[in-house]
Amino acid sequence: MWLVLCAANDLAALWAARGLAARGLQPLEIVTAEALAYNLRFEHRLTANQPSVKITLADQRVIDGALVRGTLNRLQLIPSAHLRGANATDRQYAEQELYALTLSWLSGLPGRMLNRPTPQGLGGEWRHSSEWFWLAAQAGLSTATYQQSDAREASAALAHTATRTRIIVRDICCDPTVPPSVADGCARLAQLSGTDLLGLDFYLTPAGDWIFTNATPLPDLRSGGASLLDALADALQS
Amino acid sequence: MILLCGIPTEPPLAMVREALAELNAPTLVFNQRHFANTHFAFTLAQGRVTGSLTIDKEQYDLENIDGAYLRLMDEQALPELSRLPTQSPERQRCRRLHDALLRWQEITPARVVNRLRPMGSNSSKPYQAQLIARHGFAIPETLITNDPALAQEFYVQHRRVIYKSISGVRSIVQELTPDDTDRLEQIRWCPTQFQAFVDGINVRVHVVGQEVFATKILSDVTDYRYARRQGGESELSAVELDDDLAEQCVRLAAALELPFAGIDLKITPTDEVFCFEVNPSPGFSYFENNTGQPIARAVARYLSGNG
Repeated sequence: MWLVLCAANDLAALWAARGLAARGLQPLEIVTAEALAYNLRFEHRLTANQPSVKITLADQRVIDGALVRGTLNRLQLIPSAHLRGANATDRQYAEQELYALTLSWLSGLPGRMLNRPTPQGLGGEWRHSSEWFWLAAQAGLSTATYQQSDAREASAALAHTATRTRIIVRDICCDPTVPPSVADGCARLAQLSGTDLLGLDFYLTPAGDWIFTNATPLPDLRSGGASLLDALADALQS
Repeated sequence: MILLCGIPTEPPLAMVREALAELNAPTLVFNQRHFANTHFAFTLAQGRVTGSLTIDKEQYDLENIDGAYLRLMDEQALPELSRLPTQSPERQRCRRLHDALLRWQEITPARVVNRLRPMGSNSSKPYQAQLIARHGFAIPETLITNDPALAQEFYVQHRRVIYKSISGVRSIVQELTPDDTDRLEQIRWCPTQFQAFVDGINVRVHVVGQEVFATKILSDVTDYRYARRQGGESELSAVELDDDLAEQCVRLAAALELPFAGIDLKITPTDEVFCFEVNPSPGFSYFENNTGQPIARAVARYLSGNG
C-alpha cells in the first residue's frame, strides 16, 4: 500500500496522488488529515521491535502501518473541531496530545517517506527564515541579507520580490534550466536540512544571479510537472 | 563572554552564574524582567552572524559571545506585562526581543545550552522513545489508543500499567487502578498513552558534554517528582554508572544534539536499563542540592569551552 497523507484541500497532493497512481504506485490510498482526526479506532504500539500503527477510518478503511511501502506526507495539522466543546485549557492540551501522537506514529511508518515528520513539522521541518538563510549560505547558495531586532519585525532584502520556485526530490533538481552550481547548492541545502522534498524560492537578478529567498517542505508540487512526478515515484520506490 | 538568559534568581541559572564566577569566566546577564532596558539586533549576511545586545545602554558585540545558557520563561507571563493589553506596544516589543534572541541562538556559532530545535524531541514522548530505542536502551511496552477495550486488554496483559501525557505537557505519571477502568470510556475523546510498569530503581543521569552525573532516587510513589504532593518521600544519592552505560548516555545526548540533558533511567532487578525520557532543559538544582554533585560547574565549564 502507498499512502498520500494531506489536508482535504491540498490540491497539489491530490494532483500528485493521481500522478503517482498512474506511475504504478498501487494500491494508493489518499488519507486526509480530517479522516485521521475523526477515526473510528486508533492503535499505536511501541515494543522492542518496530513501532506499529493501525487506524480504522470512518469510511471503514483500515490503515495498517505494516502494509505501507511508502508515503507522500503533506500533513501540517490535525484538525481539532471535535474538541470545540472542551474548555480552552483542555482543548489546548488535547491538541498538543494529538500532534505528539501523530508525530510518533508517522515516524514509525516503514518505507520511504517524503517528508519524514519532525517535531517542527508533521510534513517536514519548518524552519524560520533566519535558519533557512543560514543553512542556504552553508550550502553555497547566494542569499539576501537578513535582519531581525526588537525594534522591528524580521525582514530580508528581496522578501517581497517576485521569485521562482524550484523543487528538490532527494538530491535531484527537477528543472534542467537551473544552473548546475545552483542545483548543487539546492541539493546540499536539502541534505543539510534533512528535507528530502524541498521547495526553494529564488530571485533572479538582471545579471542572471540566483539569490535564495526562502524554502519550504511543502511546495506546490504542480509547478514541477511530469518530471517531478517521475522523481517522486522513483524516490518513493527506491 | 558567556550570556545567561532568564530570571537571575531561578536556581539553575543562579547556580551556573556562580559556577562561572568561580571559573573567572566573564558573564553577561539578560534579565527578562528588565526587558524594557534591553535591545537586541542581528544581521545574517552570507552565513556570517553579527549584531549587538544592549543592556542598560551598554552595548555588547554578539561575535564576542562564546556561550549562552538559556532558562527563559514565557515572556508574555512576565509580571511587568501582566496589566498590559495583548496588543500593547510594550508586549509587542518584548515579544520581538525574545524572538530575535531565540532566532540568533539557533544560528550563532557560540556554545548554546540548549538550542531550541533539538529540544523539540521532548514534545512527543513516544517519538522520543523511538529515538532512544535506536541507541540501545530498552523502552517500556507502550499502547496509545482511543479504544477502551484495547486499553483494558493491555491492563489485563501487564497487570501493572501507568498512564501519562503523550506530549511534552508535564503530567503526573499515575498507575492505572481497577477503579480507573470505569473511566476508560473517556479515552474515546482523546487517545491516551499506557505503559507497562517497569519495576526497578530510578536513576536520573545528567549529561554535560562528555561528563556524566548519575543520581539514584528511592521513592515510595510512582512519580518521584511529586512525592511530597502524593504523601510520599524521595531519597536521592549520587551513584557511579559503569563505563559502558555512561558512554551510552553521552552518545544518546549527543545524538539528540543536547549538550546538557537529563536522562531518566530505570534499572531493573535483572540490570536491564530502561530509558523513559530525555529532558532537554533539566532543572538540575534539585539533584545538585540533594547530592552535592557539581553539575552547575560542569555546565559552566562546557559554556566556557573547557567541558
